[in-house]
Amino acid sequence: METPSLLGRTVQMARFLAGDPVLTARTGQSPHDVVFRMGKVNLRFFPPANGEMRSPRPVVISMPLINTWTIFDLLPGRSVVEKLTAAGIPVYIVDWGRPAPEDSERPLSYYVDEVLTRCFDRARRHARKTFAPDADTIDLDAIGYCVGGTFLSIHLARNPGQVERAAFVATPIDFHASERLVRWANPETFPLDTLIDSVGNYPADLMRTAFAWLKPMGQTAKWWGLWDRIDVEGFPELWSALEQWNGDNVEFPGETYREYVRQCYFNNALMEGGWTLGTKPVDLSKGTCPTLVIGATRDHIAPPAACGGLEKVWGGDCEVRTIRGGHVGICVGKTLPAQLTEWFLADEA
Amino acid sequence: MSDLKDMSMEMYRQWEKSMATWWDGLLDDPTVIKGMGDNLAAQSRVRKGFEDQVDKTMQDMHLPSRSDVVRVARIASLLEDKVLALEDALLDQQDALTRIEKESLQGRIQGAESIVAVQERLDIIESKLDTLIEAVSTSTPAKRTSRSRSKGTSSRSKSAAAKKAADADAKES
Repeated sequence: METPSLLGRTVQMARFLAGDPVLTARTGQSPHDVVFRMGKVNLRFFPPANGEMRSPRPVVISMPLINTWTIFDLLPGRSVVEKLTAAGIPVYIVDWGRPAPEDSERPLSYYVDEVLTRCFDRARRHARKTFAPDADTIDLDAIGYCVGGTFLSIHLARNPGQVERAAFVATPIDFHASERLVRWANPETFPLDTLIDSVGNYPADLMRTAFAWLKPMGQTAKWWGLWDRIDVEGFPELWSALEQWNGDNVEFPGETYREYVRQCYFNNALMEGGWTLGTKPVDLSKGTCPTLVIGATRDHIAPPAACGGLEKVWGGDCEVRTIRGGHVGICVGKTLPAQLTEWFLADEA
Repeated sequence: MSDLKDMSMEMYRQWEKSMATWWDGLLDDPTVIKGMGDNLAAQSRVRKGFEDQVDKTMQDMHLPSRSDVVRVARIASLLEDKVLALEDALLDQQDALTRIEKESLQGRIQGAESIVAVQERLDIIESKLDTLIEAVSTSTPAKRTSRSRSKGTSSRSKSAAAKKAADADAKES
């Protein structure tokens, strides 16, 4: 294929953008059903390829509360869910939905103890009915991504035996290793109480702005990247889908955000302890299942050091791996699904 | 043309690198971080002020305000929580019923098997009783004859009964 000229490249990019590709990008296309609803939360079930479970257990994925779940099913061929189901692993995704002002008083314990407990229960019931109707129960595995992983780690430590194996992808645990984010989210300068008391939920537009300012050059790099690779097959579509997802933040429920930032960023309580969530203390050393931690080399939100903190505090076996990419980029690459599939099928071997 | 592209790429890379260093210095500067925090606090207060003003205007116009809608939505959420608690209880009941159903089915199977076993045992006992009767009959010939006559038992049927008793003994052993 002939490489377009500088002008040709620019014209091609202008034409592409004129079609409003970010607005029209179609994400989350893998076939699935919603098998449980709880408030704004949806539990989405993705059946394995050919409807036949070839893995030891189905997997429940806890997504981050600050974005939509579609990053794990961005586009055909760029989907973690698609790869997992193709390997015969039934997948359940906890989609937190879009919290609204009425959810501003929901505490963090609501998401960790009530929502996740119910989602695991309903996933277990659904999986038993679908894949093992004669069995009394069915075991599950779990994946947590970003903040969803942080919530999942607390839940699993409070409910040992909930899953057989877990994987945490770009999940911050040692928050004081979060580089710029922790410098910004410090109790002296970050007006946490003023913010939540004033606006209720942490607004989605502020979230988007904060993430953009974390790495300002990322904003120019993305346009330059599009110009440079406009002629690469599939890249413009991937670029639009990522842009859509990046711009589609959701509100973070106020009281949950207050407790999350205070305990995780201010106090680094997952590492240092002293956090009582609801009525029970948070103690990750109570977690018993074998765990895989995956960090991304260029992650500026949850750097590998912040993810690797789990190894120091988790009660069960913990394997730490680092793969090339950024916080979001790893979700659309080939390495992450391959590593996850290998981890969850390992028991079968 | 490729050279021109390479050159522009290289220029961009160098510019990006120097700009990134400059931004890093700026965004990690404690004064800037404090300024961002103050700005965020001020912005939050402005947002709250604006929302309060909108609410007040709606109230003045006797229209449902944002707070009213949020209050209703919150009540709906609480109701939903209660419905979910009921659903949990129902599912637990369903589990218990399924367990009981399984146990009762197991019990019925075991009961049926016991009945069959008892039946077989009764058959054996019956056979033994027949043998005993035969033995008693042979030990008292007069009575046996009279009984045989009265019952019309032939010597062939006696030998058949003895064989049956022997079989039953063998089966039991």
